[in-house]
Amino acid sequence: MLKTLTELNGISGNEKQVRDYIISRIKDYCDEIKVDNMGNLIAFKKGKTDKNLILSAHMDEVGFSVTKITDDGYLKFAAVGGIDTKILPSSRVTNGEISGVISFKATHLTTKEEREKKYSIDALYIDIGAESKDTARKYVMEGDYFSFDSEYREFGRKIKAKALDDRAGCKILIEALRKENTPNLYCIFNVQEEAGLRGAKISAFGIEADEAIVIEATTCSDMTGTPENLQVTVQGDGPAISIIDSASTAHRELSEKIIACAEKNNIKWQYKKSNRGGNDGGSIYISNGGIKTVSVSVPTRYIHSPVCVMDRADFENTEKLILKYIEEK
Amino acid sequence: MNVKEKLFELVKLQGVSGFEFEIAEYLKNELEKVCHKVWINKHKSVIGCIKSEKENAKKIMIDAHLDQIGMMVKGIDDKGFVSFTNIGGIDERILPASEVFILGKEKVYGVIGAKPPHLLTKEDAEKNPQIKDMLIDVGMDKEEAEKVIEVGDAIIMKSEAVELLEDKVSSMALDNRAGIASVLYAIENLKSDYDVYVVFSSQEETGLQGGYTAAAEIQPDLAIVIDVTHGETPDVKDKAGVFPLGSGAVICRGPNLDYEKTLKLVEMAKENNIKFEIEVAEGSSGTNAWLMQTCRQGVPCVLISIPLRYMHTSVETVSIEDIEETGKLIGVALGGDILA
Repeated sequence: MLKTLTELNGISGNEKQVRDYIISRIKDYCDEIKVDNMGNLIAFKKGKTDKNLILSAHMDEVGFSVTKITDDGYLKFAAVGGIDTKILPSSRVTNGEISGVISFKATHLTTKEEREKKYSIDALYIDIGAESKDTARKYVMEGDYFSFDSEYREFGRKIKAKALDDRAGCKILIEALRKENTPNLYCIFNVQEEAGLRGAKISAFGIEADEAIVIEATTCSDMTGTPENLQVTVQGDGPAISIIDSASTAHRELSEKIIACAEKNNIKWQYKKSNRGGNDGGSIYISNGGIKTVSVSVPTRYIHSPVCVMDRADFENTEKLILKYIEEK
Repeated sequence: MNVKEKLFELVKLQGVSGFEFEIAEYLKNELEKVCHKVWINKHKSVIGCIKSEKENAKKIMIDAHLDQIGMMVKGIDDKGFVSFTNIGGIDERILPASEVFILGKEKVYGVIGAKPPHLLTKEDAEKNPQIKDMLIDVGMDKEEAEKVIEVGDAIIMKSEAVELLEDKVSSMALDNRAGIASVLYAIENLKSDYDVYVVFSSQEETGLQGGYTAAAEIQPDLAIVIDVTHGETPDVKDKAGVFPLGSGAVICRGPNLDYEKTLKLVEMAKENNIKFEIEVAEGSSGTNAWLMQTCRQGVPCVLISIPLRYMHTSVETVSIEDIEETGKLIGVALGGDILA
């Protein structure tokens, strides 16, 4: 399921493919499914207790939006969400119908200065092979999205795919909905997280929740050469529990309950050791006059690239922790 | 021969300079279909001879290199990350977040990582990382990695060929599998008054050695070298030496190439309505012709190139039409009287 989820395209603003797939996987397990005005998917499942728990993940991913078609058939583009332009030269992209490559000057034709400096996105194009604006227009319109062209793959102890941020979270929410003996579950699959935590501003509105857990993918920079004090998370050390980031402050008692659940079930866990970054938790924890919120994330190397890498055990442990927590609640 | 299908087959085969086993074996089989004699020489160049019916015919060598740029394992560190260096002039800018295969005891998949942007100084964040600052993540610990990977193993980019619009193909190794496709296209039904030696040479990307040693072995009266040249991209226009895809065969002129034979080639292209453009190399052509010209007692060379975008990356891009036009010109040159 994670393979299908990550290979679907759902750049912020057009999450339909992902939403339709998720609906197909959860509809037999929910009491109510609602798609709101922005496209957020809210699935409710009545539980065995009267506790109301929100589980949140986002459906959207980073990608590209076509801003202009040149006279000779190339596409100018903008990044939707935060993408480091260093990874762009020679990336493969697709709009689902046709392929493209990110065009840049051959190394032999550059000056030393040009070679050393990272590209500004304005200097790059998508090459779809079209030789004129007319040909390009048959396949593409300004505003269309292109996604990284990258398939799901398991290798060594890891998983590589695009959009693991945050289809990994979506997968865990789907598993939670399929579980028996839960509290009242509101699983919210948000749109437009990458565009500024936008979807979650409205999806959590009106839900009388006791607690919210945001399930995410978070930065991991544990490569050789990174000083330990700068390693935000470490792969293999389990789900990362946030303390504070630039969007939200985790609810301390809730974090402690989740940590206690991990300890009790012998599930490895770690703190996210950074005060940077932010996710939908920032929108949820100020909803409805405030909801107790915490983020539990899978450490992800090379996040926001076509080759996000997660440790399989970390992903499995994150899923296990969430399912145990709701089971024991 | 369907050029596009052939090209898709050719780019799948591994042939990093010095490790050309897979592509050499395949091309040996291909040449056996049309040549009287085929062999792989000491340096892993594949050579096939198509004998003329004429007695004491002159010898023409047609050369296209079969090797491709790649990388090589330098070490495995304590956390299982693999350090590496280049083989040939790979464009370092494409490496961050690229996917690779290490050709170890088994084919090991990996992802190239560099330091994430938030850990860099402001100055370094504006710079492209260098190969020495990157590592391959194979998803294993040191002990697991050492079982399947050794220092010196070759590394290739993971890149499946894709079709772009208007008959274009994008893939790694089109430099010079595009050239090889044009040669295979040309010799499919060849009739020549010359003894034609087809050479798919090794080790071009590491310094033109394969073509040089093959020329020494054959001692031809003329060498026709087939390689790629730069295709036009939106950021390089009206620049000499850069050709829009769809230009056809690009014939090179300059001191590296035989003056008279090159003019003869131009004439043949015109007579046969073959699309062509002229490229000028005032010094080295940067191809096998550079060393070949001064091999042994000297070998007259002509050079035909196929325009290619994004040279030395995993997304080199060519037009099928240009390969076909180049193939036609080779056929006309070998089938005609270029040595008259």
